[in-house]
Amino acid sequence: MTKLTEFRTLSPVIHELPPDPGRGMRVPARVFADGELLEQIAADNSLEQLVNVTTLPGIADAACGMPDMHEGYGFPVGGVAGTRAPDGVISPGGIGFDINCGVRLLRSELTEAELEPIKEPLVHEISRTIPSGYGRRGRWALEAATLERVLTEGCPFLIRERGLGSIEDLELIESGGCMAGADAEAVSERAKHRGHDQLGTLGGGNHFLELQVVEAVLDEEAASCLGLRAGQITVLIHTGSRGLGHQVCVDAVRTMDRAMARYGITVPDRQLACAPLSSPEGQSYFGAMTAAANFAWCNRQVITERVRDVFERFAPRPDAKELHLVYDVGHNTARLEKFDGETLCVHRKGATRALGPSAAELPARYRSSGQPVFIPGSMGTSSYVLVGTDAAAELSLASTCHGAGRALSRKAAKRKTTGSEVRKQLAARGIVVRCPSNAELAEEAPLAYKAVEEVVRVVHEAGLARRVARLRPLGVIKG
Amino acid sequence: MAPYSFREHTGELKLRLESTTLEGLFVEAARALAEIVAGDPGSWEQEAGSQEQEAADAMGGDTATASEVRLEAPDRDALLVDWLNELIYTSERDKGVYDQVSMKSLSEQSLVAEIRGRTTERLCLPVKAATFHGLRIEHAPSGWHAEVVLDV
Repeated sequence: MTKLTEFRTLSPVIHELPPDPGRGMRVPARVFADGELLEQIAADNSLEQLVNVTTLPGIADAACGMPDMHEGYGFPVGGVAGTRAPDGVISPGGIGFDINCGVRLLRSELTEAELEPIKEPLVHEISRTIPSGYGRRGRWALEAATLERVLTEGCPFLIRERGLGSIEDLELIESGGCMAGADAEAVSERAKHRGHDQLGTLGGGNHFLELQVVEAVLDEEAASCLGLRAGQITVLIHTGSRGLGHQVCVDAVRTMDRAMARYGITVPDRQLACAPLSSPEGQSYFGAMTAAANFAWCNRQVITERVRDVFERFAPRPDAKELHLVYDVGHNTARLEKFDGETLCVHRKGATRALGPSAAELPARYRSSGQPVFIPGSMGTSSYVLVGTDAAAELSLASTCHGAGRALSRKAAKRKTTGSEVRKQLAARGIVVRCPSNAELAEEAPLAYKAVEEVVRVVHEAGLARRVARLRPLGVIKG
Repeated sequence: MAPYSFREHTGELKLRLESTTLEGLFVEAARALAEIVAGDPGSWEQEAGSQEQEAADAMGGDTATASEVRLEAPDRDALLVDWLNELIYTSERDKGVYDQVSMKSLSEQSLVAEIRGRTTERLCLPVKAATFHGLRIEHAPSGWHAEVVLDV
């Protein structure tokens, strides 16, 4: 059992457990948290899970835990690990079942006062337009050839050939909305079947779409660079690769679980099943995972276009019809990235890449600010906009947190509140809610999560990202 | 002894299974998943204006559905994970609540089963997958026990 007392405090918000070969640790376990968050993290099995990650063959630097870390399966949620390419391992459990689940932020020219009279019908119309809920199907069933192109070519295909978005959108999506190396043939027929009619759907669980107002600007210069100002209405979309991504992960865990013995790999938790990136199993999964990541970006792109259509119909003035993309960034991915000249396969499971201003692949407009990062709060609480720092490359493999992080299990949340109570509380604060299930509303209640302010304060103080703006919710569509 | 129950887990859903036989354990796993997929009618609240939901209601009655499952795995832990993942996939594919299982054969490494149930327009499938994390299958004098974490 990993104890907090074993960790060395490197700063008030950085703690490290040195590698212990007796436990099979190859690198340190590094956690970013203040005392209070660290206590919360230690209350479940996430520290143990982070230590397990340090045993992965080929792991470099450290296994990092973000301040929103909580117990997952295999990897903790909020865990980051880079393995040396080409022979270090890739572990599907280090990306998760919802491949490239992520967040995108859109900015409008509307003000809160202008939104108020149309808020209820606008939220209502968006909820009618975008299917949400578990296993829900979309309005667009893709033919096999079209799905193949979505998987292989990602957003450039949707935008350039199907007109679903503007060319400007492309540079504002991580990796231009298409990760290199996608292999549609490595995606099983089952995964394709699950995904073929789910493009443009939110899904369930903690996925949501939120209308917000920029409540406070915390860094004027960076906010201006991102096109954000106080009082402005924004739209935040949080969803992923739906059933397609889930099936890709199921298939890969199964394959790698059976392959590990062949490569002489043992893991302390079977859900960490992995194979060398260079192996046929590793290459096949990387190709399929990348294709699923492209699917997730396309999913958020289709949803964006539907929201844009609704905005255009509801906008009270002609120059407030447009919604501009601020950025789109995933938090369940593995990417090949260079650190000190070495290529690492960086697994981020519930963690966001946060590139600093000097990163070459940032769009030109963000080279003075750093990459935008969006940290949604729990439902009904504020979300934060941050930007990446150059320092994060060394501290956390250019990674930061992804949300508030669960503090209570879904069951515990339902013991403490009910869906109708949550509805009342949100309504009392002027927040319009659309969610078909009272149970799910209770499961995602703010009291089930850590305080997002604290999580964001820690990443700011640790130097992983800088706070730019705070967004207050006005309307929530929950999957 | 509850044949199946759901236990606390911060982020996911832990399923506890109990039965006098290994076959019973697999059957209970299917029943537990069917309960999730069917949803708790009391937990659903109709929101005005959801066209698809209204259309689903208008379609009314559920119809019977059945499917055959054949699995091979290196050991019984993997077999249970595969079984649950197969049921998750089949439920989503068919919009089906599979709560009846006729196990044709079951060994440590393979199973053949017929699953039966009903289709539903109100499919509730919060479970993304079954995981190996913390998976335990134990055979005690009191019977078979298992715990499996489901990603939700």
